[in-house]
Amino acid sequence: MIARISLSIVFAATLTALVAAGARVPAQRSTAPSAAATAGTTAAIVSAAQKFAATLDDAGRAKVQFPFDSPMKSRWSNLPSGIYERHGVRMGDLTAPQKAAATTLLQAALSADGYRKVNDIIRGDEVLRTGASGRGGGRGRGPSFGQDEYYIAFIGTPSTASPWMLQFGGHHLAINLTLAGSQASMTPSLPAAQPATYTFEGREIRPLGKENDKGFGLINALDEGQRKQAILPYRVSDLVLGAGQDGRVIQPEGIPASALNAAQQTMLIEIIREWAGIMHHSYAEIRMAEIRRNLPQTYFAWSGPTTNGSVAYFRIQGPTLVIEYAPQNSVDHIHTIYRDPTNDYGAAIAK
Amino acid sequence: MARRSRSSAAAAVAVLLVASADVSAHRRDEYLQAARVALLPDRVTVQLDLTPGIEVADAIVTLVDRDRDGSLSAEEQHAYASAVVGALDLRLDDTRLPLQVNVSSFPAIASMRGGEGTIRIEASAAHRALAAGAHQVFLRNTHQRHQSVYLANALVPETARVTVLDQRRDERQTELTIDYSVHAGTVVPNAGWVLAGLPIAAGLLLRVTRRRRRVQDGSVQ
Repeated sequence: MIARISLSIVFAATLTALVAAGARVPAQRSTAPSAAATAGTTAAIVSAAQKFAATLDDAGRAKVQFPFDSPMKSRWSNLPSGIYERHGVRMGDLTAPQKAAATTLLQAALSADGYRKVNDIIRGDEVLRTGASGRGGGRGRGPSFGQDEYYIAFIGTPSTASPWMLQFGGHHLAINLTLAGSQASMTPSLPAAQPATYTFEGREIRPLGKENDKGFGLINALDEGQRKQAILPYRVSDLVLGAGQDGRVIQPEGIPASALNAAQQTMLIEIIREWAGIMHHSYAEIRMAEIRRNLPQTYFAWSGPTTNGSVAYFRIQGPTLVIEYAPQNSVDHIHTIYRDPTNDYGAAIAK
Repeated sequence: MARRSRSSAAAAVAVLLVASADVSAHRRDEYLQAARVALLPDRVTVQLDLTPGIEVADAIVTLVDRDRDGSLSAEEQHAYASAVVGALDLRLDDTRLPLQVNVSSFPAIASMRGGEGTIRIEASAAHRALAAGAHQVFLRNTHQRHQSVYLANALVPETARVTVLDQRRDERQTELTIDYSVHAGTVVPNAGWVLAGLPIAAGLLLRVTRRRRRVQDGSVQ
């Protein structure tokens, strides 16, 4: 208990210091050896974004482009179109060459695993639209599902020097990637899935399967005393810091990583990588280094049964990190959120 | 007039379609009530986000729209926010604290019926500046218990003078107990009050200075 209280104080003090020293954070985030690599990645993304914009007509370019300081930054949702109005260019309205350019842009911005995950989430929504339960829907007739209902927008002009954001999202997906020169932030982002398991071309697809399995892997790797610390004795029915909860920091709970052994800490890092690794690996490695530095003040909390296949919630929270994994009363419908309370929408790098 | 009727009918159809559609993204038959508690040495603030699922939205809309005219007036919004806050039991060190609604916002009825709308309410209770040491806040939410799911969390305090030590909840999160400590120091007045008070202070200073000058000039006996 005393250790828990002490760690709470350490966490609060660290967070306060980080917030108070906000101006210094950018310098701490980037590391010199990686700057050239990330600058190259930014240049590739900017080039892909410009090529995509060049495929659009004037009306399309007007739809895709928003000022950097517009409220569009924080306008995203996990809800389907028809229930939530998105802005930007709709994938279903693009021609084949325009779609190819959009795909190239996403592939430039995301890691191979990240792009696959995004694709699996979108394909899952298509299954939701066309599958046995056939949600269907269409434009102007209530909620709309499927691969056409994803939107792409640029908040700020794509640039290798000035900050801008690539926003891509639809039902169960929100990717907010802020680029500022050689630095990047992909928070807040919301990868979710329904169905959580489906078959495509004879293969079983689980868009968030690794997140689920690695979470259950860690909780089951804890000893009895550690589990007692990690498991919350109450039900968590939904995301605490989902869409619309920008700028809020809740008190961390669960077991601190400092109370985990080396193997368990590695497992925790590998869970985090499932979210932090969605963006291009050159940015992700810098982000992972930051997360490793803060690992002793990072907490792992669990709510629910510990047998894989059960409905269980988990949260990972550190000074610059919040991850929540929240099944929606079913293992076949998962919401997650990925945040950095010090750098959502690139607040610390886009100055 | 005809145009207005047609647009009203179209809106009604749209609402019905939204209400009957299978919205997969959110819980359908529950009222999600998320509470966050912010602690200061002299104040407790409770932020509530209330999101009715699509199947319970009508019942919640009926509670707010008392005259059934299809719109939520300022009075109706205030009455509902007060009712929600009235269903909260907030205690500081075992003494009940009355909460006052600071601000509330309501979504359009259509978006509530679509399962999207979130009612936001912030209420706070000012209290005597706490002595340094251990303190405890207890919050119980009994609003619409029969159809609600709850989230309840302490926010990381905005001042280094307060440290949250522990949180305990019942299984449904209708009850939250927060143990926290207050560290010695001066309670810094709210920045808004400071800003509001600056012109008054400047005015007083000016008057005193002028009076002194007049005294020195001998114009005041």
